[in-house]
Amino acid sequence: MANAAHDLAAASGGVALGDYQLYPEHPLPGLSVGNNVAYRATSRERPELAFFALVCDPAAQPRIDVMPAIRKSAGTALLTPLEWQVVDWPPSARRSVAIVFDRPEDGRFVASLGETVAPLGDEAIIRDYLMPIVSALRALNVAGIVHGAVNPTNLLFREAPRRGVVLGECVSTALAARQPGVFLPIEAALAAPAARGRGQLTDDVFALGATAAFLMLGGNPAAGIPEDDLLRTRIDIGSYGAIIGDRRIPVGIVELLRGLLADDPKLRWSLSEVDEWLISRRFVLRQGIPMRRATRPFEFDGRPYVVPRALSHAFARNSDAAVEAVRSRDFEIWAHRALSDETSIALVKAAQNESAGGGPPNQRDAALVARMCIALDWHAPVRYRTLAAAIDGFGGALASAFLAQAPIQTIAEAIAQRLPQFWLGARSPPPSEHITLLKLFERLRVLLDDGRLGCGIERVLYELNPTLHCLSPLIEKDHVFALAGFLPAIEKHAASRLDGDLFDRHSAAFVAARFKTAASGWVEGLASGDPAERLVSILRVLARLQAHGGPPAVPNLVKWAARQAAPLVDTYHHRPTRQHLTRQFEKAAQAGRLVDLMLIIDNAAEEQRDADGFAEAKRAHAAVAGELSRLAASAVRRPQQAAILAGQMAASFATLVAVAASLAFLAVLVLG
Amino acid sequence: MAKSTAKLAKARGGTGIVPKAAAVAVALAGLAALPVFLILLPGMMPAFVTLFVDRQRPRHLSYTVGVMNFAGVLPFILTLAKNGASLKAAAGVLADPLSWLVMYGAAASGWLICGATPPLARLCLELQATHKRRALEALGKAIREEWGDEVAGAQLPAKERPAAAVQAERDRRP
Repeated sequence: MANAAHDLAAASGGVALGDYQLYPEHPLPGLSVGNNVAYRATSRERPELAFFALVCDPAAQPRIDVMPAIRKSAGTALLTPLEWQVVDWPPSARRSVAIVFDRPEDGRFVASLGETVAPLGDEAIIRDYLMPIVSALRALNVAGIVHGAVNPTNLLFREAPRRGVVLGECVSTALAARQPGVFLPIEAALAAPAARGRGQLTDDVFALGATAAFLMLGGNPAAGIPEDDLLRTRIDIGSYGAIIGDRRIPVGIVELLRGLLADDPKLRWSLSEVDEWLISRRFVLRQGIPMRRATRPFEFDGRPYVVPRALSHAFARNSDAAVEAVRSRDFEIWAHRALSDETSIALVKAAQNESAGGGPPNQRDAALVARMCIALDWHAPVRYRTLAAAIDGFGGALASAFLAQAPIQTIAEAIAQRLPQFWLGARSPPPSEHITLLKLFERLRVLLDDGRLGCGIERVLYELNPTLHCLSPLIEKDHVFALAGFLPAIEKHAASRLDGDLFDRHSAAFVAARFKTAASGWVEGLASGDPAERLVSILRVLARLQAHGGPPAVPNLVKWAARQAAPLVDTYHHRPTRQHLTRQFEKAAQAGRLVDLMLIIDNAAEEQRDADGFAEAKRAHAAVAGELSRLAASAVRRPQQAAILAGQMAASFATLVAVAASLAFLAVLVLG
Repeated sequence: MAKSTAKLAKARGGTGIVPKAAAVAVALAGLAALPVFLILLPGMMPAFVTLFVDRQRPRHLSYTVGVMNFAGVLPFILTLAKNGASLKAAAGVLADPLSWLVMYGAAASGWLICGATPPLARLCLELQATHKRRALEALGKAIREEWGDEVAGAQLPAKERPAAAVQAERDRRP
């Protein structure tokens, strides 16, 4: 298929994507985003304009779900996805998501955050950079979309030389997956890159502040500081202090940076406030809530902690040592007496009293530490052993682990230990979306324990990642992320696997997660020990897929199903029916309609007729056998029968002869 | 006492009124047609002997020999009756060896008929049984061809049985 696509590309001058042509032989390294490589693209309709396409790495998890809204809402200040599709990509010999954008003339502001540039004046920053960025973010804000990639490497120039700033794309990777920690609020920075969830609109405001600081200082304000050290400093003294430090900032812009880099999301400026400040330099001074501090420090790992968030971070970094600390009497006393707010005290109590979710002792200990981390810092992500995931970032973490073939045990344990539920329960009153999440995680916990095909951790993966492509080894390269593409992909491989199994744990879970209305029947059917029931349930779901937007004919799949159904045909006793069914299978395979095959196999009336006929035939055969037995047994009595018959024959014959002779003599006597 | 003796005699199948009447009737008929009776009694002697020695029931042999014997005697009785049924004519018949040959020969042919029919009867019965067996076997074969050997309750080898049936059998095992 890849070769065919390559030939097609070679013949037509590129890979077709809607109205666009992509050129695999013309990569554009300057516009690439991580492993998502940029290539030159052209438009058939607008050949005078330049475009480029990002061909996403299979592990990139592009934000397919938000692309339509971004295309609809974004203005000229944002690099907007114009067209996207899964295409056959010859260089990687697989299918990949390709996204077409307008091609900026003058590339990126900086290629990497390690670069330094001449510091810009505050007016230039405001007019040339902040205004277009805020304009782009405002458009996204209206649509409720978080950009998640606002940083100097993602600022591009529409025109040369370095004029017309546009904010770069935010759709080719998972949200904030490539965003450096310094451009993220503390809560988001604490989560693993792939596990930052859907983010908050205020995250972009923070990133705007960090970007402004970069522009002002002419380089990364946190350059040379290890990420974890910076994070610890930000927790201890606040992000503004940690990032800006004692650097000189123009007086007129200090308020802006303080407002943008505020750690408390409630104190952080909103986009409209930023907008107003950019226009009028007026701002609303808000009274901040002081950082939560204990009345006395708690000693852990040789260091005193006064800030609960810092202690929470320290516990999360050293989970093994934290077990002993959180179980100690000292910690209990400290938590009850030194923590100044009632919420924290109540959460610490709840964390201690929460019933263990089962599992071995080390899991329960790790879960206790994780709950205590949440109790001390309920804004931070869930941190359990090596996992650090936002509440809506579990899907990203799991997908990332699956795609990198990394261990998934920690994530499964965190769900099994009900840590997300504890995190969600830490808010009072809970927001409506949290109630939805709570129900989801309760359902996932049940699914996780279910070992059937179509359930388990794979089902959790697809339930949490609605746009993740199916990772079944059979069709992974086809990059099927929606049900519509599932049947064609399976059809492609069915021909070479007529005697094999087409559905593994991934494909079964993918269908179960995406096809909600058929999920229970699908899972129960796959788990059935009855081959007929299993095949019929598979066919029922596939037939529905075919009927609802699937390809009109799937002959290979029908052949595969017919091959699987061969043993079922043998369950029929009536030989002519078997031959008839085999002929019907062949006809259905030619037509390629799964529903035809399903109706042939799932024919209870025919089965009943066969069973009735067989019972009747058994009776008839038994009667024949009995008759033959009686016949064999009668051979013993045959001499007696023969004697009787012989006597009868002799008597009859003698009577005939005697009568004939007498009549003949009488006639002679009378006539003579 | 006399009554009880009569009852006992009746119970023993002893001399009842009917046999006695018959014997008297035969004796009267014999006296009335003495020439015919003179031919009939010795002529039917083979039949009487056969009746005496035949132990089979029903008495096909007696019947066959009797019928043939009578067919051999009848022409002489009819000839005698036609010629006036005189004792002289009866004596002529009895004096003629050909008459004896015909009467006893007819009785002998009855014996021959009885001797010849058993193999014929056995052959008929064998043919009938063979035909019936073949028809039944053909029917059984047709049923098996249409419904498989399972219809006869035969257990197919595992590899020839449907996988579902093999699995079901495994499931049934304790």
